Order: sequence, then C-alpha cells, then structure tokens
Amino acid sequence: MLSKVDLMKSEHFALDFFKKNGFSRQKCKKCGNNFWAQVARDFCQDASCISYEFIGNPTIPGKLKWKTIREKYLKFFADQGHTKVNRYPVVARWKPDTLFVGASIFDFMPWVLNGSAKPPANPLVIDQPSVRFGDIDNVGLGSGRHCTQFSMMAHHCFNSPKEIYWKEKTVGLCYDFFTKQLKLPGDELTFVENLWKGGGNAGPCFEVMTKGNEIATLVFMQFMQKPAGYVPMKMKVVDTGYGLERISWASQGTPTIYDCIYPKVIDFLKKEGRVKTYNKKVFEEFCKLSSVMNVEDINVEEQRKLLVKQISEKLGVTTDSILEQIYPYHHIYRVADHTKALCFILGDGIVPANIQEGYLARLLIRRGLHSLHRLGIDIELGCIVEKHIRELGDTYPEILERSDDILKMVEVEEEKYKSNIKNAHSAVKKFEDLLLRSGKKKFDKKSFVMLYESRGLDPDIVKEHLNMPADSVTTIDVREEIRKNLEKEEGQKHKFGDYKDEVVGFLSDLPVTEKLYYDDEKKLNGEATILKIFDNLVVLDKTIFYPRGGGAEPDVGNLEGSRVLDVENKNGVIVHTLDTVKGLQEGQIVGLQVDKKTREGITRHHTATHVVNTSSRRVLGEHVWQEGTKKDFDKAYLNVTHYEMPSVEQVKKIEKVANDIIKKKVKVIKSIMGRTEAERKYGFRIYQGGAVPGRDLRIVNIDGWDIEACGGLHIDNTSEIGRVLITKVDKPHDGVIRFIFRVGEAADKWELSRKELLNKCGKLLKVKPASVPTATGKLFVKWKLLRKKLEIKKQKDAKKMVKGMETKKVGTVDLLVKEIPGVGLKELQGVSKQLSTDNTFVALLGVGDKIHVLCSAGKNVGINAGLITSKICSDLGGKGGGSPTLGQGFGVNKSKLKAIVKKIKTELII
Amino acid sequence: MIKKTISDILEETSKTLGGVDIDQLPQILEKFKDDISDMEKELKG
Repeated sequence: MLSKVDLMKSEHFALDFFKKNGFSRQKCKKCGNNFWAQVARDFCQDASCISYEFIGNPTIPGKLKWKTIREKYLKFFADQGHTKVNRYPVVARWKPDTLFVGASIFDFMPWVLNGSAKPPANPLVIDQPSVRFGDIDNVGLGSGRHCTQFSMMAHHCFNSPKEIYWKEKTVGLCYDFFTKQLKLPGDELTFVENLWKGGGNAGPCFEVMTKGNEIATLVFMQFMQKPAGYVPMKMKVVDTGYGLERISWASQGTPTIYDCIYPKVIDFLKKEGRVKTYNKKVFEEFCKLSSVMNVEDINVEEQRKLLVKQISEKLGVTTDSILEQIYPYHHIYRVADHTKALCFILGDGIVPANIQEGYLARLLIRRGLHSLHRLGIDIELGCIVEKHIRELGDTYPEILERSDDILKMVEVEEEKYKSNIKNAHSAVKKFEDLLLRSGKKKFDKKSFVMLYESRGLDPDIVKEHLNMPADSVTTIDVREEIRKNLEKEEGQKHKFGDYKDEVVGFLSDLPVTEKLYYDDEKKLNGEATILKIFDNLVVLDKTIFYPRGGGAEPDVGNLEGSRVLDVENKNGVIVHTLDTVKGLQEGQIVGLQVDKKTREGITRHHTATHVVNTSSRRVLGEHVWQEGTKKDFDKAYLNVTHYEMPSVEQVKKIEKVANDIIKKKVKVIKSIMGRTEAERKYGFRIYQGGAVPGRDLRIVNIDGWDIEACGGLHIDNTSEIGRVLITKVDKPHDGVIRFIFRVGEAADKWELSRKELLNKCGKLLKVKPASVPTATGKLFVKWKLLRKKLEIKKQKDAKKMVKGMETKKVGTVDLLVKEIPGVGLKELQGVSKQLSTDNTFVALLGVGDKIHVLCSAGKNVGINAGLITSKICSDLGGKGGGSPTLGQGFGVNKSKLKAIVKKIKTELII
Repeated sequence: MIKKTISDILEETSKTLGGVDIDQLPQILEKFKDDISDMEKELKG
C-alpha cells in the first residue's frame, strides 16, 4: 500500500526528455510545487500563482481559432500513430455513477479501465465535448477561464497487456505539438508536478502551463485509490487532456476565454443590450488579475470586490465606474456559455425537467434567461442557441441535425419560465409570510430548495424579490441540496427486497445460480437441486424462473408443489420466495414449473416496450429516451423523456406505428456481444435502460427497428405481441411522459372491461353510452344545485334554532352550554357558526340516537375546545377531540347527560 | 376528425367530474344519485 508521498516522489517525474531538452526542476515560490522549465522562473505559471500574462500578449502566434487548433491536434496525433475516435455523447449513459462526461477518460470508465471491455482503438486520439456543472459559478467574470461546456482533446494509451508508450513519449508528443505545430516557444512552457485523482484511480501528472494558462494535463494513471492508500493498477493508462478553448485563448490573448470562442455571439449580445464599449485598460487589467478567482477555493463575490478596489487604486478610476463596465459583460458571457452548453446537452438527448440531467439543462436555460433579463435584452434564448448551432454545425453535424428539436425544447422551457417569473413576486411574498408566521426570521437554504421545487424559481430570481434577510446560501448549495434529495430518493428506490441481515449474510456464501431461462425463453419446466432454505426462501443450483429486474415483474409458478410467489436476483444468487417450504429439504432434486400465462404476458409486454419506445421516438423526436419501465403480465408502462403532453393525434400515431411493426412480423434477435463492438456497431442508443454492467452485453435486436442492451426475456417475432393498445398517457413528473399500454389478449380483455364499465354508467344514467359524458355533466350540476339549496335551508334552520339561545358573560367570555334534542352534527355546526365570535365559547349537545358533541372557542377565549370535547365525550362513554378552536365527537350514555351538562356549566362557571 | 373511442368517452366523463378515477365511475355516479335522492327528501321534509 502506497501513500500520497510515495506517489509524489521525484522518481515519478524525472524524465530523460527534460534532461535532453534543457529543462530543470524548480520550485514555485508561491505554491511550493515542483515544476520543469527551460528557463529559471520564480513561479510555476499556474493561474493561482501569476496573473493571466498572455492577455494582450499571446504565447501562441497566429490568433488561431478553435477549429484550426482542433484540426491540427487531431492530424498531429493521427500522424503519430493514433486512431481517431468519434466523440462520445456528453450524457454518460454507460457510466452508472455520473450524469455528464466531464473529461475524455469518462468514455472509458469504468469498463475499459477495469478490463471488462476493449478500448475502441489503442492508442487513440479524440476530441471529447465535456460538461462540468461544478464550475458554473466561475462562468462569466469569475475566473474568466471556466466554461460549462468545453472540448477536451486527448490522446490515450492503454498499456495492457503490453506497454505501447508511457511518460517519455507522452511528454515528448505534448512538447512537439505545442512547439512544432503551434509554434509556442518551448521556454514559455512549464510542466508542473502534481497528483491526479478521479473515479477511484490516481497517478502522477504534469500540468502544462503557459503564462498563467493551464493548457493541458498529462496523467499517468497507474494506481487505484483504496481507503488506506494506493495500490498499483493492472493497466497503466496515459490519460491526457488538452483544453481546446484554453489553447485558442493562449493564441488570441483576448480578455476572457469567451471572447475568443464565440466572438459573434458576444458581439450580437453587446449590440442587442446596447452595452457600452469598455475602457480597454481597465477591463484587461481586471481580466488579467481575475486569474486567482476560483469558486472552489474562495468567495468569488468578495474576491471580485477586492480586485475592483485594487484596480481602482492602481488606475485612479472609481470602483463604481469599474463595476458599471464589468457587470454587463458578466451576464453576456454567462448567456453565451450556457447557450453553447445547451446545444450539446439537448442535442445529445436530454429534455429539461426537475430531476437529474434534465434539471441541470433547465438550470442553464433559466440562468441564461435571467441574464438576458438583467441585460434588458428582449429576444428569445433560442435565437442565441441557433447562432451557436450554426457555428458548431460543420464540426459537429449531429447538432445541426437535431436543431429543430433543440430549439423547440428551449422555446417550451422559456414559456414555462416566463409564466413562473410573472408570478415570482407574489410566490416569494407568500412564502415569506409563511416563514414569518412560523417564527422564522431568515430565508434559509431549505426555503430556497422548497421554492425551486414547488414553483421552479431559481435562487437568483428569489433573491431579487426577497424582503427578509437570506442565509448566505449560494446557488451551488441549493443545487447540492436538491442533488442529495434526489440521491436519497434513488437510494430508496433501489433498496433490495426486505430481506433480513441474516438472509443477506447466508446468500453471500452461495454460488451464482445457473440461469436456464435464457437458453429457451419458451421452456417452462425443469429440474434443480435445492442448495439452501431459509424461512420461506429457497436457493437452487439452477433455475428457469426469471427474477424481478429491469422493470420486469418476476415469474411465478410451482416448485415441487409449493407456489413460487416472488423471485429476486441478489448479486447473481437467485432467491425464490415460496408460500411454504414444508416437505422440502436442502440437497433435494425438485421439479420447477413456470406459470405460462404470466411468463408469456411479461415477455410480450417487454418486447412491446421496446417497440413503443422507438415508435414514440419516431413520432415525438430524437430527444426521446426511455426513462423507466414496468412490465407485468397484463399491462406495462413506459416512461420517456419529452417536454409536453403529446396530443391525442400523436398518441394514436405512436400506437399505429407500433402496430405496423407488429403486423410486419419482424424477427427479435437476441445475441451476446462485446461491449465495445456493440457500442461501435449500434451507438449509445443501446443504453435505453441505463448503464449495463459486464464485459459482454445481451443485445435484443428487433431487426431494423430497435436495438437495446437488455437482460429481459423476449418473444422471437413481433407478431407474437398481437397488438398494442395505449390505454393511458400520464405525466409522472415534468419532462417525462408515461405510456400505459396492454398487448394481445390483455388489450382485448381491457377493452371489454371498459365497454362493460361504460355500459354500466349508461344504464345508471339511463342514456346511450355515447351520451354518458353529457348526462354525467347534468347529474353533477343537479347535485351541486341541491347541495347549495340544502346549505341555505340549514342556515335558515340554524337561525331558527338559535333564537332564544343566549350566551352568558363570564369575565370577557360569552359562554353557552346547550342540549338540543333531535339534531345531528351538521345542524350543531350551523348553530355554532351563528353564535361564534372571537369571545364566545359554545358547547352544544345534539341528542338523538346518540349524543353529538360540538365545542367551539373564539381566539380570545383561552379555553381549549378540543380538550373539553374529548373530556365530555369520554364522560358520556364515547370519543372526541379536535383543535383549540373546534372540537367534535359523540357520546352514548344518555343517563349521564344531565349530570354532565351541570358539570360543564359548573366548571366553566356559568 | 378522430372518432371517439370508449376510452375517450370514459376519459371525458371523468374530466366532467374533475378527473376522478375511471374505474370508480359507476360507484361515483351511484353515490351522486343517492345523494340527490336524499337531498330532495331533506328539502321536502
């Protein structure tokens, strides 16, 4: 086991390359890190140690645009023996622990790095668009260098089973690329020694710097992180990352990274917002010094104030004038950054929603709109997104292809936001009143989260409408809280069964169960040996019972005369829950029989789920992904991502498209395929059900229609489905649509039951089925009218009853205790309403078959009506209770009535 | 113009009553009828 100190030993960094090329090892006088440079330097050139010295003084000649650098990079590494690999989606659907791809190495995590899958090429070069939400508050005039979406160009080398290249060549290639391809002078480069950690892996790394700009990182991944330290990995991996936008920035020397990536968008926003041109000297000075700003380490707001003060003193301009110049640009950069990120996120299939990736997409749209609002720009956000799409389209044509979808989603989301913002002031005010009434004096984190979740109001917007002081909560804190809540929900969802600890314990000693159900999905019987019995749970050496999983319900059936009620898979050990284990013993060979109707029903519904999923994508758009499913023998549901409720016509069309495929009798081919091969052949659409573990994937191919990685049981031909009937469409949460459907006989049966239901309604209403809605409407109106009439009558009756009832004044309280023969609780309520004031206490006893009790107390009375009611009812042999202002109940013992009334009057001093 | 299916009619009926559970429709209609009869009696008596 190695420690961090072991990993940072100089032997990991002392390369022949450095010696041969005139580099020497030096120590930064500010951060203390060791670094390699060709000239003597005091500082390592990291942004936290020096300002951005390249602003206005670029280190790479030629003012190169990102597209040129990208082409040069990919060509250089291809010429050096690397295979060019196409980019992966920014949504990490293959990676179970991450929402977005944050770096190119995510493409190969965990399956390539843990040896489960082969890399798509080796060595390889890639331009991987990446997304990082951790830096979102640095975007704009934060650090001036952070982008929510950026391109990580990389060359990777997986040194297993034999070494291809390692540190010397990696550093050499990096040096050659910068100095020979981009003509960056070698003495302007420093290689800073550091330790990289991520995703459970670690290794020494060089951070490549030039004049305060980190333009690349070269990681030599070779250790696994364990709680007690580090152990060597089987595979040594060269993991590099070259920041495309950072390199372009180093070449253009613009004030911020944003000015160099999308100048046209920036100019457009400046024009639309009528933003004054800044004082170049002041603005550049601010941008150079903002190198130290990083939200991870400091409070950006505080740091910004300090910088402004510093510049004000140095250049002799007022702080107000500096702030007036920089703030519009802060918002311009934010809009430009967020809209570019949306092109990739929405283009790669995310729909704005309240959860997970969808929530983050929504966040970007709302922050973008908020910034537009602050700039006073009255244009649609989609207009800016479209400008990015046009700019990105030739490099990433897939984004151009999805532009209609992307723009529609932004439009729908913008409408939702505008409707929210319209009501923001009153929503915040109501929430504040609620907090004040409950004694709170500050608007805390929980309140921000609640207002976001209930009204969709972003914390930035809430702050603008707040009257009461707010806790110093940042947007990051609120997002983190929401994320934690989501994780909690997810954790609960995936809880395994209700097995006791001792059951889980005994399962861990058992071998993996042989799965016979994949051999022939139509085979319904077999034999197996009982390995273990615990309570009503049985584990066999092999089974034909398909366990619950992937949204599919389990098989049920018979095990040597006992009924199989449930089947679950616990880490490969399949556990059968029986109604009884009487007569069964460990070691016994038993007969297994799966229930035919259940198996066939679940299997047909499962294949139909794949069919409906693709049908909905064909009708609603390419953004549609499966979000969740449940398959039972008589019905199934499929949740898909979509931004609005589909119309009746769209639903009918989805149903028709699905039924056309069923009629075409398409083969359903099931095969096992290597992960990398499957991804290369079919793309990432195969991960409809989320990340799938393992080296090999089970591919279910509805020939020419739908291909998914799926461990479920399926039919052999779509014709076996019979037909699909979508019986309900729902919206379980924002951004997700649920189709509930039934197939074959289940659909027929359901249709029949609906027909019977409608006939029954028709008979009740004495009308034809088609007239049921109209007749129901009439009945409802009649019911409401009579209810109103009855209400009026009761009020009149109560008024009559109240006549002659007088309260007695005791101190400041008006008291009345009254028995009223022959009335129920409703009448007592009417009487109480007539008599109630802030100073009245009324105890009413309606004497019929039983005694109804009602006590009410005005707010100034100081008597607890609920407690008194409880006591009276208990004394009368009944039950009652309520709030301090109203109590209701009943008693049964009429013989005690007079004594009780007397007792109440005495106790209440009448 | 799409012809109304049985499901569409039931859905429309449910919406008339504020979106009640379709499976419960007969029981709900029955209850309305009983309530109406009781209320009429109460108003008369």
